[in-house]
Order: sequence, then C-alpha cells, then structure tokens
Amino acid sequence: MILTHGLGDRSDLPVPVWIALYVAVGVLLFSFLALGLLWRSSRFGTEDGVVLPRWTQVVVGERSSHIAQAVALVGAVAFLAVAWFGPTSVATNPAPTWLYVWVWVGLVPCSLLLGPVWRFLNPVRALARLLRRAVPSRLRRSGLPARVGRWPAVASLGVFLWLELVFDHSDEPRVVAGFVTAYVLVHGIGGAVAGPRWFDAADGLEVYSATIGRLAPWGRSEDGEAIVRHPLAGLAAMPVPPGQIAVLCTLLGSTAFDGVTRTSFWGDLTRDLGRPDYLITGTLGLLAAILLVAGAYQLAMRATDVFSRYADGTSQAFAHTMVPIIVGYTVAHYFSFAIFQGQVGAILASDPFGRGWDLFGSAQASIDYLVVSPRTIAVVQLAAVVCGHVVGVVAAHDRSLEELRPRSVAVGQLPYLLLMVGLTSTGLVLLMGL
Amino acid sequence: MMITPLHIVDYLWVFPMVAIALVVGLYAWLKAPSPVEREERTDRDGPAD
Repeated sequence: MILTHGLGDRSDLPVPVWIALYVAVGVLLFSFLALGLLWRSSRFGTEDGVVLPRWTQVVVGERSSHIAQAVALVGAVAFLAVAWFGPTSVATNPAPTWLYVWVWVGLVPCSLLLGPVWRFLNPVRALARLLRRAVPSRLRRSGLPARVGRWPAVASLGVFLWLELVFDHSDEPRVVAGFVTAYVLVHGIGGAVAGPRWFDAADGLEVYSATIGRLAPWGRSEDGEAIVRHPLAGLAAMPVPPGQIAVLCTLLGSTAFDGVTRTSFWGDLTRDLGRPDYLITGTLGLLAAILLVAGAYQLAMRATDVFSRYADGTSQAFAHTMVPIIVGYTVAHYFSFAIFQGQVGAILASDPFGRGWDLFGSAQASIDYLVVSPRTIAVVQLAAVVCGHVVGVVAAHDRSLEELRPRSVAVGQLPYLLLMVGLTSTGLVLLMGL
Repeated sequence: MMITPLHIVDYLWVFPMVAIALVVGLYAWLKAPSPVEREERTDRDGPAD
C-alpha cells in the first residue's frame, strides 16, 4: 500500500539533493553571519502599524464576518450534500478535492496574504451562534479554561492529519462526508456551549489559519482596529498559550511524515503489510515524526536556555520562529499538488451529483499539466524551504537580541542555527523523496 | 519484506555537514557561561489572535 496525502499522487523533477542541500545550508549560514554583523537591536518588539481607513474596518468588521459565515454555511451544506449524495468515486465527486486541496491547502496562501481568514468565514461559527440560542443558560460557558490553551486544537488537527496522511480510504467521498459532518457537529455544539472562544482554542482549521496569518501584513491593534504592519512584527507578537508549541510541532511533523511516506524506505516497509498493521505503522510513523520535531525543538531550546537572560527558559520565546518554516515546507510540499489536483475541483464542480450536468461548462475539461513546468516546481520548492528557514533565522535573531544575554547573543544562537540546518537538510532530503 | 540497502558512497556529502555541526556545537558548549542568577520575566502577553 502507498500512503498519499488524501488524494492522488505527484512527483516532481528533482534537482541533485546534495547541491540543493549545500546551497540551502550556505544561505542559512550567510544569513546568520550577516544578521550578527548588521542587525544589532530588536526591531519587532511591538506590533505597531498603520490603522486602515474606515471603509476597510467595515469590510473586515464583525457584521461583515457574520454575513460571510452565513454564506459559508450555505456553502458547507452544499458541500455536505455533494459529499453524501454525489458519486461514490473520487474520480467523479469533487468533495474530496474541495476539502484536501481548496480548503486545507488553500488556507495557507489565503492566511499568508490576508490574515486569519478562516476565523472570518468559518461556517461553523454561524451554526454555533444559531445553536447557542437553544442552549439553556445554566449550561452556557464562556470559553474553555485558560490552562487548556490550544491543546483541543492539537487534537482537532491530529485527527484531520491522521485522516489525510494515514487512513487508506481518506479520498472516498463518504469518508470525507462523515469526517466533515462529525467536525461540524463537534465544533458546532462546542461553540454553542462554550461560546465563540471555543474556536480560538479547539478548531484546528482556525488555529492553523490564525497561526499562518501571523505572517500576513494585516493584523489588529490592541483596540481591535485593522492595521497594516510589518509581517515579522505580527509574527513576533504571536501569543503562545499552552499547546501552541504542540500545534506548531504537529504541523511541521506531519509535513515531514508526508515526505517520509514518499521515500522508497517507507514503500518497502509498508508494501506487504495487511490493513490493520499498515494503519498501526502509519499512526506510529505520524506520531514519531511529530515527537521527533518536538524533541529537536526542545533540545535546541534547552541548549539556548543556558544563554538566556530569563529564568523561565526560551522555548515559548522562540516558538513563533517555526511558523515561516512550516509555511515554507507546506508550500514546497503542496505547490504542484494544489496547481494540478486543484483543477479537478473546478472540473468536477460542473456535475457534482453525477447526473450529466454541465453547470459551469467545465465538465469535459481535463487537468492542464502545462500550467507550470517541472523546473518551476523544483525552483519553487527549493526557494520555499530556504526562504522559510531564512525568515525563521531573522525572527530568531531579532528575538535573541531581547532574550539572550548581550554578551551571548551570537553564540547563544548556535543551537538554534544547528536546528535550522538540521530541519532544512531533513526537509530537502524528504522533499526530494530519497 | 525487502528493504533496499543504502549505498554509503551516495551519502558521503553528509559528512562535512555533520563535521561542521559538531564543531559548532562544541564551540557553543565551550562558550556557555557558568550558571548565574537570571531575571524574572515581566508580562509578555501579546494581543489575542
């Protein structure tokens, strides 16, 4: 059996791995040295920005958000109708592509450009508002306890990632339908009982989008006004409640696992396994990848603690620097998948119930593989991984200037630099699919 | 189950990188300051997402 991410399979023309690796590591070392010499004081300590004009505040305001969520709820009903009652094959039903490509992969560029978009148009928020009217006031809560942090979102993301990367029938429309129905029910009822703050803590998609959205040029001031700001200032101000580091490690580890499943090593390991053994191996592999990333991060941070100014350690202070790395890997892994498989969602949308319709005139179209060349894909992959790590190194250097003792700023960053070199190398090796 | 054997010659480029990592790690370890009193952190709560 071969594991794939939810749908289909893809392979890109590789560039020689060792050249890509040395270039990437060279860029990292050069950035580290240049930053040490030229960047002497912290620039992203505050999240100040320019307040956007009034009409923009209306467009991104609460009322617009409620309207967008209501429209998205209608879309979600249509999605579920197609997933439950459309054709049973992924070749003819667009729902799996809509979920795995349009929503899950599309969330990354949208959040990167626009901020936490899923919070703005999350259809389950609209459902929860409707249901909350039916919840007796003695059962109503205001959010989850603070100590729970974002751990529920870790569970939410973990379930989705397991479905996408491990479960062998993840691309079947009815499986997608069952998952999304369960997701909507859990979060709809959770949001109805615990109020809108439920989603900040428990909705994996929202937490994912909010985390990536930290790198967007848009944000909100402490007064809640929409502002335009430096993306790295937004990143530096990322809150780190309990569980946030686990969210980041889950995202990074699962992408790494996705890479592992494409290696010949994994193919050999799982080829002859029966279904239960295969699911157990996949589950353990996914867990191991997440724990390895978490272990490597904590190890690097323990080493950095030695140089810290503060008594309570550095692991929270540097957590935000993982976000650009996650974005880099995600773009690298899913770029060609999104470009090619994403077209299927539009093609199949013309006849979502398999009744011979041609709603949008695209029913006879086929995937255009000439949209981007294999070379472009390889360049985008390499650039995404390298840029992600360089931005991570910049964010870490800026934080080091505040966090580390002045005499130890350069040497104190070496454990982090080693972590970056290790992650870049591993990431590129997995990307090239050895 | 057959696992394809690794050809070590194809991976020789790994060793310079590992060597650099070891040297950097050793340097950081040697330069680490002896334990000293550290400051208590004041508030670091940013705005919510």
